Amino acid sequence: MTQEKKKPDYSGLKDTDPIISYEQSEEAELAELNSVWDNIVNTFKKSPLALIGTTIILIIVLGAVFAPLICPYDPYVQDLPNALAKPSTEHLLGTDSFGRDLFTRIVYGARISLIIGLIPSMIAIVIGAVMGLMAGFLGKTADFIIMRIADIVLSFPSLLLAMVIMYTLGASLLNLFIALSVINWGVTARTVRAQTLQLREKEFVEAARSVGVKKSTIMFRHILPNCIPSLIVIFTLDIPDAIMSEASLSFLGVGAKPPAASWGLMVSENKDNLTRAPWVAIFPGIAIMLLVLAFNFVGDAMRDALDPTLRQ
Amino acid sequence: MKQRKRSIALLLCVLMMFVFVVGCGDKTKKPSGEAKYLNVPTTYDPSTMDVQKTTSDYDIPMNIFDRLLDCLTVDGKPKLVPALAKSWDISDDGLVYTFHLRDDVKFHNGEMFEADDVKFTIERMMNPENECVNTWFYDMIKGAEDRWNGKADEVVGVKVIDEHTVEITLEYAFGGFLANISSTPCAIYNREATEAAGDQFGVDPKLTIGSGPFIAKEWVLNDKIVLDTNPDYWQAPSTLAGIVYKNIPDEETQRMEFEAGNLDIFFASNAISQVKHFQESDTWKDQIHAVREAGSYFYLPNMSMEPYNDINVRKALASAIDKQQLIDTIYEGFGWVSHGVVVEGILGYNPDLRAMPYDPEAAKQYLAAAGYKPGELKIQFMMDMGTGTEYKMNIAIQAMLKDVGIEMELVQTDDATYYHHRLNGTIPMERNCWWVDYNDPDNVLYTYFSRRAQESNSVGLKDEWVFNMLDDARREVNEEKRLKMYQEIEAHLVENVCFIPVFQPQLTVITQPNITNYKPAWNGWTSTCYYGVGKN
Amino acid sequence: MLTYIIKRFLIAIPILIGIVLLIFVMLQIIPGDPISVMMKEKANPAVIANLTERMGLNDPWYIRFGRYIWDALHGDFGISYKMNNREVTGMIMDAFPNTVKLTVAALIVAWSIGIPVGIISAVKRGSLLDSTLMTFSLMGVSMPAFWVALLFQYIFGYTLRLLPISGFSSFAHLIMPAFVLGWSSSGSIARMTRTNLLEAMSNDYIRTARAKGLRESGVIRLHALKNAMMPVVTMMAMQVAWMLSGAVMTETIFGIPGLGRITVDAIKNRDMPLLQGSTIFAATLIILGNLVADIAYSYLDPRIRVN
Repeated sequence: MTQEKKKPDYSGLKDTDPIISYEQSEEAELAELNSVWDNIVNTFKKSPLALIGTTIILIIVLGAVFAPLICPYDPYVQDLPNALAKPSTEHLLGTDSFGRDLFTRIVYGARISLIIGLIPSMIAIVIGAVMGLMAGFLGKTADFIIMRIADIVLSFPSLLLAMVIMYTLGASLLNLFIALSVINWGVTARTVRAQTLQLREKEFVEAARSVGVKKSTIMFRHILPNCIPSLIVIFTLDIPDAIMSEASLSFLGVGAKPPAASWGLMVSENKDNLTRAPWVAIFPGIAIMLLVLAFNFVGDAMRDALDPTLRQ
Repeated sequence: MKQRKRSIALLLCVLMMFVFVVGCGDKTKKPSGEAKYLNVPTTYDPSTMDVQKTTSDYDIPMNIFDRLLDCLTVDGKPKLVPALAKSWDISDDGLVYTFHLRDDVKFHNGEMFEADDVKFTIERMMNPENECVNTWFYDMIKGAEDRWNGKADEVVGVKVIDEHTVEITLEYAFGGFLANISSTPCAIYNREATEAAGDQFGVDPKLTIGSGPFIAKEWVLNDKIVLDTNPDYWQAPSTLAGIVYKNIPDEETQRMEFEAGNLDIFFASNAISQVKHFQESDTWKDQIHAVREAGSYFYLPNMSMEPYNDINVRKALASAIDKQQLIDTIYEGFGWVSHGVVVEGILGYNPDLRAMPYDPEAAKQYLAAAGYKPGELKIQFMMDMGTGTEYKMNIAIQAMLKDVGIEMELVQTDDATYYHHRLNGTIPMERNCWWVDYNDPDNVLYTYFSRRAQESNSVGLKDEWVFNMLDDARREVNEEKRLKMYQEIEAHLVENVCFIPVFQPQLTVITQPNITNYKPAWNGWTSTCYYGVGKN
Repeated sequence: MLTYIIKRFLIAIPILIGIVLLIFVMLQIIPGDPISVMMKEKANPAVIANLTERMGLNDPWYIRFGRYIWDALHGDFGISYKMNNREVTGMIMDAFPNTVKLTVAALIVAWSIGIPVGIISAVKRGSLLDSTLMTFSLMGVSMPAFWVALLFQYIFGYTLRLLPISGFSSFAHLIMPAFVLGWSSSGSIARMTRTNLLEAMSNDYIRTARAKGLRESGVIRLHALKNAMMPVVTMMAMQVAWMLSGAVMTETIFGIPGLGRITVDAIKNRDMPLLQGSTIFAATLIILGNLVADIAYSYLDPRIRVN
């Protein structure tokens, strides 16, 4: 079989064409992935909101990574006589009710928010994708059971499910990951399943089967890559969800544990100081808003770039 | 075609709004007249209005029920006065109390109060089938324990002599008995009404009948509870139209509502930082009422658990805490460092008692004496899910302990988990606060340090001397001797650092300028009986 | 169609049972029991033993579970553990109308902001107006609900004295909570409207209509919007269901006695009957919402037939 170095030209092919070879379909997939990246870059260049969002995220990530270098104080050291000090040259954003420097705590808090945003979302995507693939590909029984479990999780009011999980397992960062992942995998599973059902019927899958490729290989090496665009979209839109859920859970008392510098915890701890020292509750809230908004912008741009329905 | 659809949609919206305006109208507005309703905030609904079945929801029962005696606040001090019982005789051995009851008391359902109602009330509390939770208040009465354990059919110690005389015989001569029965859980119920109400007593306002200055009118869950003034009260009826308890879970919101004039009283307990604001405002600076709370904050180490069983560890902990700093920062200076649990304002207060002072250097030495290098000792404090003063105190102490080389982890659990741990005796260290139910040192010492208490309080005390002394003190008839015994017990506990006293807070209450005659209760409770309070 | 609806209803039953089982199991694992909560410091071992026995908390789990399902089928969701002698069904039914009022008001806000924003953003894609409007809408989603609620309370209720701070006894009380809740939902609506409208506008038949000479506004309204609204309508149906299950944050801050408050309190108090009752109620609403959404979708779009 001739190996061509340049990108194969599949523009003329239709679904009704005769069966293409297995190797040719592999190259087609690679081409797809390349064009995905091109799509993303192009859309971002055109959308001002996406660029703003990316910038904000980068700033916050850098801040989180280099926190010890930027911050003048330790986020946990208390200075009780100096509690609730106004923003000044000594304390850029003032101090909280224990005298801890607010600017430092917000920068360190970015770490927690980013981790909370990224990790549970990734776990949720992984679980959801695997479940969705299995449900879509493995047929009737697996489909029924997996989808019913997904339905149960999706029918539960999500904040309450997270609360009950946190109460069951106890309040810790690991358990928070578990709780946030559990409530989020359902949507991914449904989407991946829908796409799997569609792709299952395509010619290249039949081609693969006819050659004798294992089911798991087909699922993960052939179908999954086609789902990646949707997965990226869901992922970037899950992140803000996770961050917000953490803030709400901290407010209800089942999120991050004190004295952690979590933005959600900071807002809920200091809400009774709203009149005397409003900055203590407002600045962390603004931080949450900026990060979540940024991810929303980026996520929207991703969807603009990648959503299969938009491109057809 | 589209136009019409849009107009229809618009019309529907307008209709819906109209329905809301009409439907959501405030239905509890009384016609404007002389008397007004007092608006009081609460943060959560009581589980019931039946005071025999709740250990903390005393707000409503204080106002709708009466007791045999009352404890009034006169010049800031507690004073026992006759209430439903107009006089009483006590036998020389201190065992038999004969109460002469008033004959002019009418219950809210029109029934007259008689001695049988007293008997009924006590029987109801001690009847095991009713599962009442405040049995501690009556279990010193002869026959009460037997009734509770199912060994008898009635409490033999309570005898109806005639329609207006009842005789109560105690199992042992308990000096604090009169103070005891003036507490809120000893509310007197009406036999006919309570039996008729069945399991809706305390739930349905119309069926919850008492003899108090206010009548239960309406209860909307999570929203409000309304009490109306009792016009037939055996004393002069209140000048208020009634009381509305508004359920506002968030304290910030409460304060805002108070300043907007929608609440008449604001309890500054969890929003201490706001007091300065009120002190500086012209409207309210003269409306601030302060009282020493008859209670204090103290930390209880679980002495059956490592490492608290080592007295050096306890001494280290006690010396590491800067109590005055806590008062100044977290309570804005509205408090007094305490040295015991029987604090000033409670009968039997010992002004000479001294607990371990703040001394971080000494703390480090005690730690070393216990065999721990700095940073080696890791302990846990347990508390509930709040972010109020307890939380702030624990966080501040966490830093203080770190300074002397003790690593403290703050474990926050929700209520249910917390009380579960408490029952099983597995709480390592927690902050406690106790405000006396009645003015007697027994009420605080017995509750935590008696033999009985070890079953349900995670204190882990194993001191037989203390247990025996507490039981003996209860039986001591000579008042002076009795109080001396309690002081001895407390001194012993302080010496052995069985608890770490922190401070006695001040209750600060702000009222609207048009509220008259409000006096904070002598014990600094926020639960208040509003009889006598007026609103212009 | 009918078979589809029936099939979905039948599937809903194991889902509901699954939910009940899930809560049941989790509440078993969580340490702490309702009785200790009720008794707090004055916990008396004898009383606790009695109450535990009488509430049937000592029976093996399958008996308690079976008993529960049996009662539930008869419409009896038991008696609350925390609130003495109150029936759960009654508590839910008292709270639900308040949640309904809040939901209707919030959805009016959400849709009247979201849909116009989405349309304008799509039409003027890439412009400053697009960015501004979408940012405004998305801000609602990006700020924690309790934070927004507190700020609103502080600014409009306390400082400016324009609106009541909390409570639920008049129309004016509804405005702030409705806006807070509605603003956050408007983001998703705006986003979805915009996306779908963009997609619809780039379709072939739109190009045909334009080529035929139809005015831009006529084109958009007649063809694009109709098709774009379908997924939005399904999202709206789901939002109704979601909101009806109780907006916990908003209800807590503004003191609204609705379903969300009850459910959160139930979790804190280990009030199992109340928690199960209100969760089943909420889950049923969500399942119904999904069902309505799916049916509406397949009804409105003849091209899509459910398999």
